[in-house]
Amino acid sequence: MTSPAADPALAPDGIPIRRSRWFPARQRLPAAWRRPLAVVGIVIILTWTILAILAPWVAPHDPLAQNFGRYLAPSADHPFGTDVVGRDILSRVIYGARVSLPLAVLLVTLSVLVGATVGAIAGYVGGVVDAALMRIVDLFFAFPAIILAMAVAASLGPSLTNAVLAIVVVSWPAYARVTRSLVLSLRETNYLAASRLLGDSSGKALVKEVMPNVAGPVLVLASLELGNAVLLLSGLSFLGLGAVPPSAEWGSMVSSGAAVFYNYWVALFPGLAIFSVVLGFNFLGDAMRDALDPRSARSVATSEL
Amino acid sequence: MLFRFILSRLGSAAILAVGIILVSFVLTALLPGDAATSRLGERAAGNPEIVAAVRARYGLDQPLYVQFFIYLGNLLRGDLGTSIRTQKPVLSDLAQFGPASAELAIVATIVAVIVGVGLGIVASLRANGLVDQALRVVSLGGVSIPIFWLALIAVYVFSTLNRVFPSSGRLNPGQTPPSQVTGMYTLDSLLAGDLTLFASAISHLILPALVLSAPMIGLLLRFTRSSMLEVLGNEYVRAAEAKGLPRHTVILRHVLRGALVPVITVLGTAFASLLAGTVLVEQIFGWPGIGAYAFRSASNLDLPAIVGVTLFVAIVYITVNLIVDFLYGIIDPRIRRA
Amino acid sequence: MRISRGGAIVAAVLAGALALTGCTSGNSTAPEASTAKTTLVVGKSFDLSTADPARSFETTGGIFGRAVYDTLLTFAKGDATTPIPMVAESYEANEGATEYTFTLRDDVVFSDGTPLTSADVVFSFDRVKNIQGNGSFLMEGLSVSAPDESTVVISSDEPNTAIPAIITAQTLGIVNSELVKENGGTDAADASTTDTAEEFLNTTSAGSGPYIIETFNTETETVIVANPNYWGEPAAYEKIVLKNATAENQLMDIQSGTIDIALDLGADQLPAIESNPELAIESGISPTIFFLFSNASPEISKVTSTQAFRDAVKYGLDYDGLLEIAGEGSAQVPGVIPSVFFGALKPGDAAVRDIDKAKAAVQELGDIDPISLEYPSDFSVAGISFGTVAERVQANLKEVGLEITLAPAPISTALDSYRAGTEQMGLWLWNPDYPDPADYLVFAPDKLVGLRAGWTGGSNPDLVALADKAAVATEEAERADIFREFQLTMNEVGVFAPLFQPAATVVAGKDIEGAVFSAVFGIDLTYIGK
Repeated sequence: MTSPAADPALAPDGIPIRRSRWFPARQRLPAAWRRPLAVVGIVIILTWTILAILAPWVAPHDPLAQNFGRYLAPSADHPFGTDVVGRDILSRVIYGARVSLPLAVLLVTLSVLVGATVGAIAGYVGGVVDAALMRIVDLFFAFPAIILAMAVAASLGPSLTNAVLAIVVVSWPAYARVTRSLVLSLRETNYLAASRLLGDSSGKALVKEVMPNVAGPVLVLASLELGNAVLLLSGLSFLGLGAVPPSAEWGSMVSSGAAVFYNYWVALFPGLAIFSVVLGFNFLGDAMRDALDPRSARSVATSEL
Repeated sequence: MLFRFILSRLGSAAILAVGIILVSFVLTALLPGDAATSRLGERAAGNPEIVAAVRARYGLDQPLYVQFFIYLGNLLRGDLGTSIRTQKPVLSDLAQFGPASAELAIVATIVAVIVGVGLGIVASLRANGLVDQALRVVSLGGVSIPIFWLALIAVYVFSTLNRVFPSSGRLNPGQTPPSQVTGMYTLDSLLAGDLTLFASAISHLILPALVLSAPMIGLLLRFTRSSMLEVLGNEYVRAAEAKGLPRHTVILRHVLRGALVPVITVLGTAFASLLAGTVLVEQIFGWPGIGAYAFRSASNLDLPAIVGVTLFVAIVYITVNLIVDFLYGIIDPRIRRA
Repeated sequence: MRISRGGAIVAAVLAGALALTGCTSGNSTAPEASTAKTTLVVGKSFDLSTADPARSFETTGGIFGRAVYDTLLTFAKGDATTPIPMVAESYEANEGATEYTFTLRDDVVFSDGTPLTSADVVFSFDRVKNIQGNGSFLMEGLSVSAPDESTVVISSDEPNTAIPAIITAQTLGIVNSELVKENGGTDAADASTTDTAEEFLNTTSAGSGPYIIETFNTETETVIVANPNYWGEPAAYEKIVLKNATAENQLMDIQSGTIDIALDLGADQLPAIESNPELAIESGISPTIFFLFSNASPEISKVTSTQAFRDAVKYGLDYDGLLEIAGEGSAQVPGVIPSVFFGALKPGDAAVRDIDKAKAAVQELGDIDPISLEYPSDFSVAGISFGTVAERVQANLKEVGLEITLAPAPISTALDSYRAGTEQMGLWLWNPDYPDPADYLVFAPDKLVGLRAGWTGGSNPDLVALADKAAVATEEAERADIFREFQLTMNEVGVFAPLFQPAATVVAGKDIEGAVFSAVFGIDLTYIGK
């Protein structure tokens, strides 16, 4: 095994790559594809996406039909068993993808929009505006996310919409910080100096020059956050602060199995579904992070926390 | 210089604290329902006199901004108000539940550091090999597993199928907690020299702490690995190797020291953000800590308790960040000026 | 099962690691006292807020209060119908049931040795009345006096046959008046603001019961120990620990022997322990009733306030299917009064599903928007969560063509709209305040719960008259008739749809004698071990 120190060939993130003399073409593949885990991640996510789209045709039963015996153990008829009111758990797990996947994407998109806008303005305008905006960002950073989400859900009543809103409120600051630091570093580079010389107004330059350069790292951060979004949403639903019955949501399905833990199938399969989706997103996000240049990779890595 | 740095940080921390109180106040005020009256029994709630008396007792009959300034005034005197649900001063609630969570979080962090950093070093030394790939899966698995589900499985396997660990609580029923020094039963029982109590405390602590450490292990593993690799690629490391120093000496003396500094910052942030995990884990393990307290307070709209917990958590977060900043300030003086 | 084998290996590894670090976890899961049985550990999901009997009104407070504070009358083991003597050795009522005279025993002493006298009773009762707590309504319309040291007279403005039942309530536990006064207690009219004895009573007991408080904690565990000065037969245990645990943790703990009695196991959890030879399952029927209401106020909903909607719900519900959800041992409740109390309807009076009638009613409603059904989402009783019941109700009504959307909220928020009477439909429960049918008159129009369903008297003057008559009736047969008619009329109108009473289960180790469910206290700790 080659010692990494002995091999000066480093990937952009400082991770050495073993070059293959025999397959130079691999270098031209998108970085993500060079990693087997990324492929696994893509397969997992694609599978779930297809299941979500085709749920009505794939699911063996109506996810809401209470037609079967209660707490039936897994069998040929019900591979994942049935739940407290006699619904087919396999069908509910499949339909659950229709809840978690789109909401995770929506949640992250909203957070990115808010965060990137605030961050870009702070970084580009600078001065008092920057200071004020960043204090607000600090505030939301220090605010315990889960408490905020719980209070919102407790007050407005549990619903997935409210849970999404609550999570957006606490997750946008991460994007604001990353975007701001990227914009700040861009300000010093030639791009903007050049466009200023060309007489571009601030707004135009922001859109034309800053956006494309910021988009990459922010999207990577977003892809890493997709997994977290699924976890947070299902966590809130587990606490009874998210999905409303009878909707087939994985977190609330796990929760309904907690009291009857010896009927292990009630909680086991929805939990596996969450685990696999989050794993898929994280495999993918991890590979994208590796493919990114080191500076922004570092800022993404820290702000992800 | 250093003094001014700390002072300015403390100043902004204080502003942050006021902001947090304000946000929690506004948030909770927008909510329908209030904790005071929802604690009333069905009959008492039908009596307007009793309802009014209860609201007056908790100051809920005052306009919001008055409540806010009263709260700030009390806060300056070190009074966080009285929890509507537990009917005890929020401060004494925090003193009771804070150490329980701290104990959990600290043990989880220790486990995560040992396992996460250790495996991260292993991964970096075998970068891109099979072991590294396997550890990458472990790391990503750690951050991907729904912690409430992991907790349920852990309880089922270790407290039901195999009775290795007790299912809930901090001590066996009827055991008198050790006299409070730190509030952490493991430490306090050792200080009291009571080994039976210590055994009980630790057997209750292990399972929830392990579950809580899972995401942190994943995080530390990844971060240690990339931090190590960065240092391994540095000139001075290669120079040291070229000088013919043994590899393990190079790694121990030069690489680890450089690589672990950024890991400390990650550790700080990760520790402060354990709260979300503790809410779920404490719920399942019946662990009487801050997370469970926060959950019950929030779902009961217990305003003094919510603000108290929020403030407490924010202070932990700010303090940890201050320490991290401070450490960085010492290591790299340029930051102080930035 | 896949996870069990893998788990066993991990467990073994961990256990090994533990042994290495010198902590033997094996013995720490079993309580030390399990052999001698001087300590009893009871698992309960806490709803505890105070140890002051006058302020306490929650189940958990009642359970431990029962062992610490004596009452004038009480119930025999497992019974909830006939009050029997306790501190009062006898009582008699006057002709019109407006005055009850109690004769006290002369050998009752408090835990500090002071004799209990009628002055203590008067102080305790007046304190409850004036403290404006959750249980103060018990003293509404009542006044108490002490003609001599061993006689207590309770008089009522209206004829009230419920008095003997009311005074069994734990809230009316008798406190040592001297001791409580010394520590800030008062029974004055302004007690709600001037009484400061709660803090004292949360650490020290001032009662005459067989146990005294050792530690009181609302979150973890509350411990009571035998009262050395107890005036009756000595306590069966040196120590009783009430441990706060969720139902699922109770299920694990009762199997591992960590707790001796589990009070909150639901019917769905029992299969896991039915085959366990070391455990005894005592099932009774809970006096708690689950009910649905359709708001009767047209201002809240033009739909739910119609007779057609009420009929659609009444005939559309699958009562047997709901019992399946409620679990084995539960029973449909035919009227608002639960089966364990005097005045309950007979099972034959209960509503029956009639799909044709329901569909006809839905037809009559025409094209309507979905109605929202509100319920507390974070609340479960006897292992039954409101969410599950609501899901089944929704499915039932969908079968007859009625669309319902579910609107859960945490109980603190949900209670707000319930008590304000703004819910279109609600799914709630009623726990008895005292074991007498008079407690259920709150469901009448214009009364506490009736108003929450937007039900005013104008629409049903007959029912209002019936309720008023029932409240003051004294003769037993007459009472039975009036309460029967009251409930049948209530069912006819159908603003409320009584659903079921859950099974109440007490699971205890085989070596525990007398762990029996009590419809009044949940469990009477003083009967255990005897």
